[in-house]
Amino acid sequence: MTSSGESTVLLAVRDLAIDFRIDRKTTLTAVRGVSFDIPCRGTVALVGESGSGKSATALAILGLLPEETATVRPGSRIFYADRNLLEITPRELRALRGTGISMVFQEPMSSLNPVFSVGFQLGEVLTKRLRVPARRARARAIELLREVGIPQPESRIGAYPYELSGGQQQRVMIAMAIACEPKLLIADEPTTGLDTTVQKQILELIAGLQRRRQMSMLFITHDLALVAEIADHVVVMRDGEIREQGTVRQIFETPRDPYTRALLACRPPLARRPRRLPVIDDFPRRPPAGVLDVPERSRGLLGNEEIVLEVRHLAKSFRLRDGLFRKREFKAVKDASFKLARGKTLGLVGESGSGKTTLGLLLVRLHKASSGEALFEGKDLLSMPPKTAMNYKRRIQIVFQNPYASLNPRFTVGQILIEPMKIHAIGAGDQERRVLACDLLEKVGLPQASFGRYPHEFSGGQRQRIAIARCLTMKPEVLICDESVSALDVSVQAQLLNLLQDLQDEYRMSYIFISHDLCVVRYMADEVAVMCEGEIVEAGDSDEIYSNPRHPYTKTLLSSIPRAWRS
Amino acid sequence: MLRVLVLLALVLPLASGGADPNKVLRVTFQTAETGFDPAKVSDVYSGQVIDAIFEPLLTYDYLARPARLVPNVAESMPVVGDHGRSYTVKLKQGIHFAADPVFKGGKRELTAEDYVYSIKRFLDPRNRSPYAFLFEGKIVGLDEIAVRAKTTGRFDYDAKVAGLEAPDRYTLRIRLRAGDFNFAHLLAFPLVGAVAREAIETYGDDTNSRPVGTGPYLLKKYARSSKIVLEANPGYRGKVWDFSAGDDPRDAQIVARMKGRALPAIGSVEISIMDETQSRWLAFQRAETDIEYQLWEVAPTFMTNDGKLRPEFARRGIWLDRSVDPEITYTYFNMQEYIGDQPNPLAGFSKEKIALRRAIAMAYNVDDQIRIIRKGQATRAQFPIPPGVAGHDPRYRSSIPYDPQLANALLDKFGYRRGPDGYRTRPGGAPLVIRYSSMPTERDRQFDELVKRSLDTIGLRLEIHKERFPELNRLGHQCRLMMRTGAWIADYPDGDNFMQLLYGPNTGQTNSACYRSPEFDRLYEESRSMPDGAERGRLYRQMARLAEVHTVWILGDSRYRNVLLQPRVAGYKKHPVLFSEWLYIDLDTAARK
Amino acid sequence: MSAQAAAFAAGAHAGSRGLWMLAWLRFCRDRVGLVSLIVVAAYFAVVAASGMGWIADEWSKEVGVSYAPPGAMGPDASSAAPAGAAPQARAEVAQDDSGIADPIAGEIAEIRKGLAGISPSETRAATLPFGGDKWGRDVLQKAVKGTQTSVLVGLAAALLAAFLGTLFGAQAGYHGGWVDDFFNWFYSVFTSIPYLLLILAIAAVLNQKGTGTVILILGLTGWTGIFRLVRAEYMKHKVREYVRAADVIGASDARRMFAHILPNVSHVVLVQLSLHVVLFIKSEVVLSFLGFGVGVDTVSWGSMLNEAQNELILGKWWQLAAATAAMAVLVTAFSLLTDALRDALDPRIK
Repeated sequence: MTSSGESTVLLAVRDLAIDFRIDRKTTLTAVRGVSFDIPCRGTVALVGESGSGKSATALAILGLLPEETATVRPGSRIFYADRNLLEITPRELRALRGTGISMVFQEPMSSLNPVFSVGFQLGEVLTKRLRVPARRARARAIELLREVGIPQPESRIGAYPYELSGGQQQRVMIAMAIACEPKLLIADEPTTGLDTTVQKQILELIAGLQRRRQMSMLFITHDLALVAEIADHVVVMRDGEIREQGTVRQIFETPRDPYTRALLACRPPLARRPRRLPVIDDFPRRPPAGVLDVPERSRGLLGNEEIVLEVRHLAKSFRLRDGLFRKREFKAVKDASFKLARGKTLGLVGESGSGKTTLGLLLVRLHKASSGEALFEGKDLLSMPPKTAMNYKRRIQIVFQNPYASLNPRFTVGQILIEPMKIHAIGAGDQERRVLACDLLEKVGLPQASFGRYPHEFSGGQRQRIAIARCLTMKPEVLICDESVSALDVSVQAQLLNLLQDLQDEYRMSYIFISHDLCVVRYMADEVAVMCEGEIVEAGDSDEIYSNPRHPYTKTLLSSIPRAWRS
Repeated sequence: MLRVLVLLALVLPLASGGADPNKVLRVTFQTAETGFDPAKVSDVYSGQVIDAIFEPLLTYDYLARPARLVPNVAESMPVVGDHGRSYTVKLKQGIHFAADPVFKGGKRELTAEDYVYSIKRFLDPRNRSPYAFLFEGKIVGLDEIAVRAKTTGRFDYDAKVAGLEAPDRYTLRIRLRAGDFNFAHLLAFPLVGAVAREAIETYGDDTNSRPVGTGPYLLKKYARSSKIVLEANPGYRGKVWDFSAGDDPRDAQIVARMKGRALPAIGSVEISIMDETQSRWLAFQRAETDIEYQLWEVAPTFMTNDGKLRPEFARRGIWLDRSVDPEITYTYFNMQEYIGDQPNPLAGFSKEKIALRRAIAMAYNVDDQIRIIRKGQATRAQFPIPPGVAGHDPRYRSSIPYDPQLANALLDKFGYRRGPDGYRTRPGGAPLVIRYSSMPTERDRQFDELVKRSLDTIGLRLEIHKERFPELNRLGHQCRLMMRTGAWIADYPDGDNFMQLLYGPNTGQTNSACYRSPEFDRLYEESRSMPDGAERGRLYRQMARLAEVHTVWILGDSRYRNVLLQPRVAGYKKHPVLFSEWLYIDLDTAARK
Repeated sequence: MSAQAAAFAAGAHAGSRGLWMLAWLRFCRDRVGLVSLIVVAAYFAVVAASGMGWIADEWSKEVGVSYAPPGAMGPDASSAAPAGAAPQARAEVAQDDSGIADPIAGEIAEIRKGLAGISPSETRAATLPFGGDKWGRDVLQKAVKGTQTSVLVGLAAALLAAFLGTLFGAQAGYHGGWVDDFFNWFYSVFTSIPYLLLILAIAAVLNQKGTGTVILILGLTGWTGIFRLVRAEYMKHKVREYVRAADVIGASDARRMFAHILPNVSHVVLVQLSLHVVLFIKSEVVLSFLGFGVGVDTVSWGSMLNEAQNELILGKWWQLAAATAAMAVLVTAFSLLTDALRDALDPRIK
């Protein structure tokens, strides 16, 4: 509850409390009495994991909470220019939106209307809100597009949202948000889901806009590292409360709250590689001493390890319809080759569209390879007939990215775990299978009662554990983790990475770890292969690559990692 | 002079049959027609159309009751000689067939040869005429040609037949094998109208839809099983309405209205085929049809219980013509040993089989049929010949009572034991299923229900077989139906027309029960050569009794014919024998409502 | 609000709740749905009782006079005479046999002697609770038996159609390619013919062969709606990650289709099944009304309506009223039930 030393406060939130009604009997308190200030021309970062209430707070400021389920408790106040936003009429609130306070959401694809062109939507903001005449609006729209960095705005103005890339869509959203020259811009996780390089560009854009237009900004994110680059003040939230707030320097150098310290520590650091990542539970209430001193793990190949999987010149082309008669060939993977050693991890990094996910799916035969081989024990996995491939299926498995989609919603956890056992005739009877499943649950850190529960009762991290347990039933030798931790919060991510590492230590599984998050890959991988547009542009020992990148693309990639706080 | 000529010009066309084209008579059939070739059809619906298109030698006096023969195309009544064995008829001259492309533009006069040809056609095996029995075994020399035709596959129409001669262009002489005093009725039968040889030979298989006759109407439009439109034949020789009133009080009014009129008065007849009674009734109520008589199911709506038209209808000018049809309905059992290749459980003259049929007959409640299905508009038939037909015996009573209890006991006695499901099996245990055939109409469904109830009271299993009318007829002629309800209306007002339904050789034609009893046949042949009288009556009683004892039929009822007429229909009186009265009636265009 | 919180909230209630259980709870909150369920259950109870023979077993017995009016209306004066008449003495036969002997005359005489004194008595009621039809059968019992026939036909046909539709839809949606093309062609043929004409055409050809045929006709022509929906669902689910995961762990095509995807699709099928029961009950009524439905020894609502059309013209309305009322109540309740089911199983449609 401090304010910065700056001039005036633009927005002041006092004792904001929000309840959500789930059904007739249960109510959840999402925000419990939150107070903070946003200064003029300053940037406040609101940091927290999913469920912390940060998005709800932002929505409350603009009055965008869903009416049927959300109630703001009386006693909450949000002051903007001496007016309590929670008490003004809806008309006044509407007038405020866009011109006073503006918002950029997380998913640009779903925020833009797919049936209208970008220029139309942008123009709509101008004509309806600012009452700019149509012709003038078009010119202004082109100016705005240029300002946010869309190349050739005169021709792109007629484009539809699906014709733009994710980054470009987000730029358009930002253009719409700043069109009316707001004083406060609220950005709710604007870069989540974007590639690292694009993320960097968007952040630069936002920072630039803020400086030029003298806007205040409320930047909501779960990534503390991002915050270091752009924010002046940081507010850390957990479970609806503010755990700590202060200047950036204070938070990063002298964090007081254990949760803040946990957040700072959970992220795999680029410089070191602790043996285990610290998780939130490692941080008790009172600040301990020296908990961060964990021995390091060394990674890398000695060159004499057994090769369990060898991929040679793998390629995959998709044929796409181009117009009525022509077919276009899209090469997703071009000539990929690598070797995977037993008990070691190969990290596959790249941005979206680089082909890394396709490569992973090729190895488990979910796509049919156009050419190339994947040799497992000397036999080519990809050209085997389906019957023979069945024997090999249990030995190379995959954990998917989306924990919410990879489990059958109608199966209980027990059924999910027993299914592969039934297919591959593991275990003598139902009783034995049950015992095996329960063992696995314990191994991945889930309570025994999970056996009879359904996936929707679990969180994202827990579901990934179930997915991992499912793979473990077959005792695979190769496990492909396709962005398996990307959709998880930082702390949960740390837990899962620890789990994966433990399993690798115990079972000597080989991992192919696919991710766009360079820090995580650095932490997990012994070897790294960098993919760009279907090709492996650079591959080698992970320490080597990170310290001495040779290919220009690798260099660009590494330079766009958000820098942690450096004093 | 000019005036006279103009008058003549106006009057002559009327006198020579110029019908008013504005007068359109609309009627309905409740079942589809078969076709319009006289030698190929047998149903009354086709018969009505044939009656209007073709002309037999003789016809009936429109008003006289009982029915009285009068000349038609004949100059005068035939001269009968040689104890009923010789018939000589002279034709009127100057009668022509309706214009048709088959005559290649010329006018085709009617000659005696045409009747020779037409009669020969009944025995041509290729025609498979259901009425071949009318002439089989009667005319000298004709059957031999028919037999030859069966072996060679071609009927020789040019061969001379001794009993069927045309000594000159307009004289027809017929010689019969045995004396027959009813033969003149055959010459008045509408199906024995003259056809033109050229037309038959040209149209080949299509003669059913291309009728060419000398009658008052010709076929203008024909949509099979849907609509038939007849138009007055411009080449018709014309007739003048000239009948005298009889004892019936209605006659005077009719005579007053119609006498002297040039016929046909109606220019066009439109016939629609409507299966369902409801549709026909509604159409009549909306004045879309002019004459309607097939309305048994809805009779209580327009008639009171004592047979009078309800006041609300009488007020609209609608009038009711009521008479008992010279018909009987009966439910017959197939008497052939085998149906297809399956043994027929009902057939046979052993005691068990007779008992089975007798039991069914005793369980069938004809009173319910009259009361519920006919809604009281019928009288019970006790004798195979209905009232109003020569040979009917009003004192005769059927020897088969309605007695389900007796029926059950009878079946028990002859070893038709009930199985575990309650249904009886044959003596010996083989399953017993009675197959009853009918049409998929609402009315036939009621008959199905009545048969089912009846058989349920005596524990016999029933199977219902559904088929359309022409198919059923075909199967019936082939003796492939086990049990069916049929009806027969008099072709000519003599009992012989009914008794021949049980005559063995008529199997495949009108003997739908396929009943072959040498004893019955002997009695029938004897009766055939007798005129109507006490002697013949005695024979008929024996024949009726024999049919009862063998239980070939379950006699049903004779329906009342209630004909409803729109106010604009004039001169109507239902004739017991004539198929249709269209030639003799008129429409009051002024009274159109 | 995060999934963690949701899970917390859901898990806070005792025990684990599958999606079916959740749906049931949602359903119970819909009052209209509950009432409809009770009504439909009552009908099914009637069907079960009738099927076992506990009620309406003797519906075909003629217990009343022809067209007996409902009890409330009082007996019909005009129909007093015929039935229930004085049990007449055994009908006398004609004595004159014209010289033709009856082969079984002896047996008949014996039987008559045995039956002498036992007069055939048959008393019929003048009124019945809901009136009588033309043969004097109890309309109420007919309505109950008709319920059994119509509901069973509707149910059986719906099950058949659902089975076929699901099977075909699964194959078409899952495999795609030429399999999908083939089934689509098949589907197009069936749907290009107007539904009522299609069933009438088939029924006219098969010519009233009984209840089993009706079920076959309805089931074999009515699968198209379910096919379309199931196919779409399969196409949607086939690319979902859990199906891919099943592929990776080695599940065969058939296993994926029917063990993995089908439970996720079954709520759609259930709702469609319910809809089709109503549709087929109505279709059966139409068929029987037009004379192509059940045979003469079975009664259904359609056959009652068929008889009623002729009776109405005579002023006898009770059979029409009974069949219409029974049918209207069931169809309404079932339709409301289907709506409630759909809301419970697929709540986002709300």
